[in-house]
Amino acid sequence: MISESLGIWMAGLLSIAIFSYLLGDNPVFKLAEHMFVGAGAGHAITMGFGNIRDVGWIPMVRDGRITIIVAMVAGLLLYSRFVRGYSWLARWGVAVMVGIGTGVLLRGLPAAQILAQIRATMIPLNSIDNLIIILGTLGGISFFMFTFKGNAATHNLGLLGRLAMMVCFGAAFGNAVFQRTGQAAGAIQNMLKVFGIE
Amino acid sequence: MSFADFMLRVQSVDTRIIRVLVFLAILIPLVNPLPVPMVVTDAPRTLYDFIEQLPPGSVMLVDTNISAAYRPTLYGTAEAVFSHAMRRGLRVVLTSFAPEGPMFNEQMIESVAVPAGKVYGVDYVHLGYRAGGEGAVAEVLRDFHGAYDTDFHGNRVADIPIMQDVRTARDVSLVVIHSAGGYAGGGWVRQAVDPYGLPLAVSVTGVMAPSHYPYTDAGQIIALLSDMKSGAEYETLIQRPGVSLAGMGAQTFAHILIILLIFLSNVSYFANRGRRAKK
Repeated sequence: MISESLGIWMAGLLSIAIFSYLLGDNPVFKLAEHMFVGAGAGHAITMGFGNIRDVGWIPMVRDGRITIIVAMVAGLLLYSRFVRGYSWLARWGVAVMVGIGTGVLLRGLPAAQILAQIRATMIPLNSIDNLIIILGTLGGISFFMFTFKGNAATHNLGLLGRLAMMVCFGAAFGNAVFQRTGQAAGAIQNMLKVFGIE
Repeated sequence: MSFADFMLRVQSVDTRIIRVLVFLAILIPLVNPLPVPMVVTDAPRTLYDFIEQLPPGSVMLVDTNISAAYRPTLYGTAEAVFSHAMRRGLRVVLTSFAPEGPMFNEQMIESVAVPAGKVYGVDYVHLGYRAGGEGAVAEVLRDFHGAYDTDFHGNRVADIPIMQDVRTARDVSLVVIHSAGGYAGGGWVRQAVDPYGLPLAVSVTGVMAPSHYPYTDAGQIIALLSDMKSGAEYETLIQRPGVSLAGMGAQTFAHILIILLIFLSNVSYFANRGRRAKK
């Protein structure tokens, strides 16, 4: 049964328009592409505006949380790049963002991504899995060791690391194929909904 | 046409033919669904068992970081896990640190919580989008009420019953994130697992999955769900067929075709290499 929902018709027709690129670039594809970019940008602006209103403006004006003005000013400085002669002020806003971002990241990074990973590699050599993990890790590190000239042992370990990375890239490629076919299946499902096939 | 000529022509085949073949391989199983045997792997099973052993009333925090382009691969998992949590009587706090996330949270509420008769604010709450990426995650976990003044619908968070018991990460029993990009599992490991010791389950796209395996091996992520396949497995576990299971037939046929094409192109490459060497 043909769908009576305008949303489903739009999703189906736009999916067909996007798929038309498979036969070559064309105006219908361009139209769908521009609509997608425009809708995405419009949605992001709306959500961003709502976020500034809810997190910044309302708490500052209604609840008197004056300290928020520091973050608001830092954010506004980002737009100074559009004002000739004052564009250098944007660097202050960027500096605040980079500083806070780096601080937040560094808070958990050493324990979560260095110590925990090292600990996870300190495992007994009592299974093939463990052996592969240890050799793969040492090989990967050896491959990217550029600070001194290695010997035959580190060279061979590096080759093993390259092999481990190639296996990893192969797994990533397989996953990428899986993801893309999944996305294609979703888009085709949109098209089929027009005809009531779900 | 001899075998050698066929092999030579394979290398110069018009790519549009391959695109049409892949399109048909996906389309036909969707129009005529074929039963695909679904073997449930460790990751969905682990998350399922974890949710099963949580006492009713426990708080599950969900970060829906899905964008429209990745809906087919991630939404099925998100809906299945949310459905399981609702069925188990967990209290769910829905958040998002991506602008498009709230749209999918609302879809989940419409398709799972509302039909199940769950009460907004008591059984679940949708806090909405918060900008700031990983920094915002850290802020929310430190103080939910400080980070969110109002929920997605404009209600004051302080007045929502479920939020009376949810103030910091210490009040959360499980975090589940559905991520199509950005800081993803790494960010949550840094901000939730290491500082607070929260159990974290991660659902990511296929491309992102390999970069998350080290966290699983290190025990920082309790379950790593990858793409539509994990969603289909989870739907099998909770016996609630959804969009992921519906897409698995198409996935299977498309993969068989792609494997055949890779095999054929390699045979062609080596056959022609032998011919070039003879010349």
